[in-house]
Amino acid sequence: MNTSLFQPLPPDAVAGTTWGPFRYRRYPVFSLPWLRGRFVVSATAVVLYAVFSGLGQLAAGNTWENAAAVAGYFALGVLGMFTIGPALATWVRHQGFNRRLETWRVIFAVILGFAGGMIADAWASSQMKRPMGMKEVPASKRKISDLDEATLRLGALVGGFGYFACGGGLASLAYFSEQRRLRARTATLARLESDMRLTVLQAQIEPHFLFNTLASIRPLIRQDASRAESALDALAAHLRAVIPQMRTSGTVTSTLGQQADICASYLDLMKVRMGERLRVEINVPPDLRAQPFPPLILLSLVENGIKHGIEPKPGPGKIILKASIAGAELQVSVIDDGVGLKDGLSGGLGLANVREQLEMRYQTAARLSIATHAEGGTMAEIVIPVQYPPA
Amino acid sequence: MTTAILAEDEPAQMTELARLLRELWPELRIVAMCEDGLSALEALDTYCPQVAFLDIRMPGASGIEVARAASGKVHVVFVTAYDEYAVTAFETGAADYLLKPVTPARLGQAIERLRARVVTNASTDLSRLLDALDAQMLARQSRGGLKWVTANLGDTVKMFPIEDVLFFQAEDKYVRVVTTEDEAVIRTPLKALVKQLDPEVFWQIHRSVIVRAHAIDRVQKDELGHFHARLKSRTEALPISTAYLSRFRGM
Repeated sequence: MNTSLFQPLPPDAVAGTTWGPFRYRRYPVFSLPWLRGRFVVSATAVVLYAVFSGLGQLAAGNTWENAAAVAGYFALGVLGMFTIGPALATWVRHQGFNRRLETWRVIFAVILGFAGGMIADAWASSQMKRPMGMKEVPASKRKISDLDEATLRLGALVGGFGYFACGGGLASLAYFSEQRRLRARTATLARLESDMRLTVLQAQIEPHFLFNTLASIRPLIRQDASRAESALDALAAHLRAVIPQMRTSGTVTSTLGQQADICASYLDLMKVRMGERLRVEINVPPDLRAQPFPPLILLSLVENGIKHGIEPKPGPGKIILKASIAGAELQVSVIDDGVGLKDGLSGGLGLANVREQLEMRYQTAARLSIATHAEGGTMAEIVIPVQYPPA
Repeated sequence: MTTAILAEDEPAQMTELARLLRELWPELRIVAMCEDGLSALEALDTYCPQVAFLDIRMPGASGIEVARAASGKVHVVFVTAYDEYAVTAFETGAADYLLKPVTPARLGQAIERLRARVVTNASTDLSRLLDALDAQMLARQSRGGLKWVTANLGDTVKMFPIEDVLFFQAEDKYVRVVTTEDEAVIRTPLKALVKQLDPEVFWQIHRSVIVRAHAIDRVQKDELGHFHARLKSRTEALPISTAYLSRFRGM
């Protein structure tokens, strides 16, 4: 079961109007919510049209029963034609095949459904002939001129196209455009993430960081071998987390817990380097660790706190990383008691990327705020929507 | 007996350097071990040491600033994590340098040289080396790109992407930073901003104005013969002084 089909699409993956009755277009094409909304819209239109044609029959002197039968068969036939293909395609999507298989099966479902719809329509048309008072005329006795014949064929062709368009053709086009938009979106996210990885990586393999860390670990080998070991482990874990890895697909899903651990190993190294000068407090409640959280942006904020807050400040410094839930929002903040952000021009703190990533993933539901803390220092806070109620 | 101060903000490295020095140069007396630049400056004053081992990046004052105060009086050895860019500056030989992590062999060589210099008491003028190092630090910073203008607004910090800034205008002690929809004041003087901005993108058109060249719509001359720049998306008229007018010729 593919649960994401029940979630609205990200706004930048939605095409066409979505107001009022067309709200269903906010859901993925060929998803159950989409099918439901589309059925309501098309059924309303078809039933209205059927009622009018029934009234037409009455006006032409037909009986109540016959008029109702005409309207009923018409509605059944047309709705069948409109709905069978998309319904089959929806069933296919909800099976959760991989994308290639799904695309082919969706196309097949729409064509199959359309064929089924034609049969339903032919059946409904034949049922309508009796109450409409039409008689079957054998082909040999029909008197039709060549021009009429051509007009009829053209009409059938145009009608066929129209039927195909309404019977899943347009929806298929929307499906392909949705797939394309989602792919473009994934590509953008992947680019932002790799940009961030590069920024973080640059900070890590910067000579200042790497050689100072090595220089601090070196004397530990003699003084305190076990601490040297754990410092080397932390360095290895840290480099592994930030060095880009060959990945086969799209973006990785990461959790707040993983991200906090990456920050913790970085801060462990900084403690080895700065000794008593640095105090660290990490307060991420265990029940929030499973919350999805975008990769590396938290580390980027922690690094800023060290690099622009605590390192330039003489004397001891403290960095706090904490997470909490307020209503439907997950708040994660990095607080330092360092020198504070100086006003004026500053280099790329990686904040542009953080903002872009948050906007891409959560649109307006996420915020990044930077504040000068009351007791000096800086507080950076990220707010994103809670993804599910913590257990 | 030779005296020395050590300045290093990371305690583990400081302890290690002191240990190596005691081992390799037993006659050296370490008179102060400083955890930041400010206490290193104080120690220079208090102890007038012959040798100073200085980390470059330190809180308070950088190793370069401390070396400026020591220049001509103290034999400076920089202890640095910096890469070859900075190392080329040291090739002039004005001061010795040790790359982190410090190895006993390399420290031994530095000690040999220091011993010889202390005897002849020929401490060199470091100003040219320090200027070169300063320039490299600045270049390193701007390579990262100046991407934000940070303005403190009470308790929060407002950040403008530099791409959004239309002009900077000095007013009394402050500088106004103006974007299409927003503005704030910062305390960085215009003189300091000019040095950090791309001169092709931002033009100084007046003692008190730096403007984004692309934001200028037209240049007007008023009844008094003064020139003003009009912007595309703001109503302000920015003064242009005659000294900077030449930039607009042929526009």
